[in-house]
Amino acid sequence: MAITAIGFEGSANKIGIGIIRDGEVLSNPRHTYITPPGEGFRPNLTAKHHQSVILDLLEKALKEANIKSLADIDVFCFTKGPGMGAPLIVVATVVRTLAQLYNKPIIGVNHCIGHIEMGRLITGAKNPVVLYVSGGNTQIIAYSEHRYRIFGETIDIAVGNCLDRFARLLKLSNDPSPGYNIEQLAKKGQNYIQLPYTVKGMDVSFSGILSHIKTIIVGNKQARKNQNEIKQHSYTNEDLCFSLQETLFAMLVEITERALAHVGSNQVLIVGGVGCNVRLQEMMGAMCKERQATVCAIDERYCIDNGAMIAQAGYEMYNADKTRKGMTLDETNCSQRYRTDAVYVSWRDD
Amino acid sequence: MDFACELNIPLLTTRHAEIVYNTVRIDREPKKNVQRIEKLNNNILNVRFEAEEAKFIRVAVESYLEKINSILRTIQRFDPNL
Repeated sequence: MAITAIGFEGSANKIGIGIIRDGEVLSNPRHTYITPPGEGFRPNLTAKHHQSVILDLLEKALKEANIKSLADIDVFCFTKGPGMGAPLIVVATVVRTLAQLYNKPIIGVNHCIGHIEMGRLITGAKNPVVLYVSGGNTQIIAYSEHRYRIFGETIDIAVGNCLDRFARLLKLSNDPSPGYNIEQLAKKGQNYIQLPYTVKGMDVSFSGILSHIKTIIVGNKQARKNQNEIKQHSYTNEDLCFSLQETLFAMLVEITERALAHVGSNQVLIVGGVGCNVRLQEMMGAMCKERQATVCAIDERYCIDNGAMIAQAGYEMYNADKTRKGMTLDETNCSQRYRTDAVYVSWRDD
Repeated sequence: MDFACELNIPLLTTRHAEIVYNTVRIDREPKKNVQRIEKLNNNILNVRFEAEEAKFIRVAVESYLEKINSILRTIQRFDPNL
């Protein structure tokens, strides 16, 4: 019996709805709330954006999947957490309503696990060490005995958050995403600026690097304003982008390598929005080559937050549940904090 | 609690009222400074907000009504029985 799952994702500024049938992605449209340069996205406005877009996006998802009615869907999945409160609730509200209208089971999915399960589906990687890097999360994850265990993580902000806030300082465009524009500028960087390198064992820290580079940028601006003779050479935006990427990504490669050694794995799976970055994939590839390991990377359709990844994780959870009841409505509450290892991975036997 | 606001929201049918009630009661108020108590009477949803300051109630009621609005629009567009 084929199972068709629909997934709704809206924990940050992307709202995506995806439909999957037995591992095949039937549709996966997405809409991003893009703010003007220099501005980040706030919960209330992001929630308003999602609210205005979600029903049209749902129709688009059904149309692209060639599905006439929601009655043909077997299970409704949505992001329970982690993420921003208001946007999460907007999406959950619509999904709870739909599940009741059609009397279908509902499953709340952990956002991080959505990324992991989509990565596993697309790449076919059996048991990789997962580097999950996005605007909201930075974790090194390895599967062991029914849990996705967090081996290492950021102790303050996510690597994507560091990049996004840096982009704001330079007033880079947020279209299609700040990270993408940083990557393009970095390709033209000529000079490496020394930045703090903060790996703490298996963990990483990014807020110090952000403060440091902020000081450099503000110093640059002041000097240009006063038209002072700058003692050190002035740094271009390209140099700053290049230096920041090299430093941040080297840190991520280091903790990934440490995890590979600990776990004895030879596969790395990179998921999350920052995983789109080709430079990161290159650097990871170079490290893996030295260890006879491989990098499994996915393209921006599935790296960036999307609905299909929620559908896929929800499908696995639902398929493993022989009662086919899904969650009770009380269990579908949203939580801004939801640890990856809090979920019992019932759908894996290994 | 010094300030209170009570809303009575009539829905078209008992079924709709149940759907709205079961959807909107799940998430707790994000801030602890507002208390929210919900009751369902057939097809009327009764909500009572209590807080120390009027502005807290205003914010809570505003976002609550937006949620109701969202649920109603979803029902309007996707209810298979309509």
